[in-house]
Amino acid sequence: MKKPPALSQPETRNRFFAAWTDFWFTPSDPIALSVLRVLAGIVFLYWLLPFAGDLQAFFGLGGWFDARAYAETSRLKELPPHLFTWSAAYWCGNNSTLLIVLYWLSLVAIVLFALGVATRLTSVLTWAAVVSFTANPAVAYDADPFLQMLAFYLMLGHLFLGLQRPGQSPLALVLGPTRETWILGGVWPRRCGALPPSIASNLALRLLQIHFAIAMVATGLHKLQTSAWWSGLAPWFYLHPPFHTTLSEIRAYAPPNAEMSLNLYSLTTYAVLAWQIGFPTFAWRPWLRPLLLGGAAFGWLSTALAMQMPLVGPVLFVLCLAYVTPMEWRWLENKLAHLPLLDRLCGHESASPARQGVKGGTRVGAITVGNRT
Amino acid sequence: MHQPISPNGGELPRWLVLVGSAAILYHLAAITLPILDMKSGPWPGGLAEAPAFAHSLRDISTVHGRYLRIAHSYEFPSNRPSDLPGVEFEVRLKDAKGNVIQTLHFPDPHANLWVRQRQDLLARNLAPDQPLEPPRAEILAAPGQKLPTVSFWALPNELGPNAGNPPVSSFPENTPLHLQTMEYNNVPRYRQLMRPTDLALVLERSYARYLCRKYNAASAEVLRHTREPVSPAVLFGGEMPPHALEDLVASFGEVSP
Repeated sequence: MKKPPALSQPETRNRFFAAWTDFWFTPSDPIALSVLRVLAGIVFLYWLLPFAGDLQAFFGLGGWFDARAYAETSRLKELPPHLFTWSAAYWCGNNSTLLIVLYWLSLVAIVLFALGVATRLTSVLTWAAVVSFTANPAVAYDADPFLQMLAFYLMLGHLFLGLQRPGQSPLALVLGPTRETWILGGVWPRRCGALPPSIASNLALRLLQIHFAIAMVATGLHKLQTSAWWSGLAPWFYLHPPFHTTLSEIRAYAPPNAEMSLNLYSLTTYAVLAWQIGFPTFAWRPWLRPLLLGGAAFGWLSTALAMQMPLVGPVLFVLCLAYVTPMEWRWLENKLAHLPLLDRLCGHESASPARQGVKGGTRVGAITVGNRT
Repeated sequence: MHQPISPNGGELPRWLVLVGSAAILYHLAAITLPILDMKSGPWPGGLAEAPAFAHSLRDISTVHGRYLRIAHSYEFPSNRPSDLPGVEFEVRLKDAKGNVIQTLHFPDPHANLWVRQRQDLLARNLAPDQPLEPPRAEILAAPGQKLPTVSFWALPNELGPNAGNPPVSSFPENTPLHLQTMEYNNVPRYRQLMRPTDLALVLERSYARYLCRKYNAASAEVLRHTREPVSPAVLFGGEMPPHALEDLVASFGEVSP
């Protein structure tokens, strides 16, 4: 078999730079960022709405974690730095009216952001809301860092999305391209255009993808520091929480059920570890999309049912959708356009960048880096 | 150097690509360092220190961690299911005379799913305890300052007039532990002492004060119930350890608002 000619050092270097710049700086169809924005908005509402009845308790300085507690923690050593920084809720102090106003304004900002209204402004407000309402150490939660990650990169993308468009009014520069990002654009296609391919969209998604992949690998490696994961028994502990397990339930594992359960638990444990630690090897490969999304769906179910963590699953699933390419979203959009009712929502396909033949589309079924296949 | 195309059709200026690349590299370093700058283990020799380079470069992540809030270690306590006991707690609200006026249980089985889950998170933060290392040499107070004190779990009267000696009487099972505070120099050495984390103490006091305000109580006593993780011994043909599903009760003491 004939070997390909070896590349010289400058050629190798040029290839590396080309791959680097393509990966980060290639303009891409903003549909991926828009879909993620809508889904993230739904997740943010799912997270924030249930607090509505207990605002003062959860976020007030006279609540579960009061002003005195913040003063006491400031004197402690070795606290997680991400917990004790800033929050708009601190400004409200003990004033419950201010807190209520802040909370509902935050919800309005999230809804408007999800709908695509004034995204340059509402993306910042949404991020500030997410950061502010995850600042209470009393109820800190595994999902919080992922909510913050999602909100931050969506803000980053929408801050710069459409910024280079010529002839914008100062107000449009501040508020962002509402006409093009408005989620119901298909219903009123005449009022809506389509955003051209955007470097900001690609860059924000790439950063999100890399950050999430690092987080997945780190979490997987952290699990390897505990005996429960090495021995394949982690699911046992999640499925048998101490206060909700009876002796009769445990005795049901007596032989011959024990061996089958042991095999099942260890197989599940190692599948989870392999998925997390091997995440970067399949996340960017469209032909391995079922592995990515199937694993995310399994994680959703298992964290909700076995670990009683209803929020972690949806957040991780949405983060996994950040790897879906614009062309895959366009393909899905075209499929949905044939369904009744949804055809109107997808009605502006003729104006979509993919149809206009612009760059940024990626081929389904191939490994893709930016525009390269 | 390969030049990417801007949305307007022209090539992106090289300086912009270089500046953008530098910013990306800085950002990636800032989000990766907090992951590396963590103690690992426990290994046979205990916890291992974080790599020195990650620790010395940790300031790179300050903006990302403190202000942007996207730098995180991604180490979650829930990743250690075999190390975490189950935790519930009850709060005894008392009037000014010390009479119990109401006892509340958390997580509250009657609360809605979301509130109950947050109460569960709060409860988990009250445990696990950590070992208390006795002082290796006597500590002298700085001029004009008091000697440092430390709180740890002890049996009732264990450290009364005979402090420093083993308890002379035995206690019935399920006797709640209570939180004993004393000068660090006087910490007994005859057994391994355990103490709640500093954050657990802050959380417990804060929540007790909140309940006092909410229910107009003069004081509140928080009793923590912990239960060890359920042993998987039965999967290997073994028997459940005795007292496997029994609670260890520990009182944090009374707190006034």
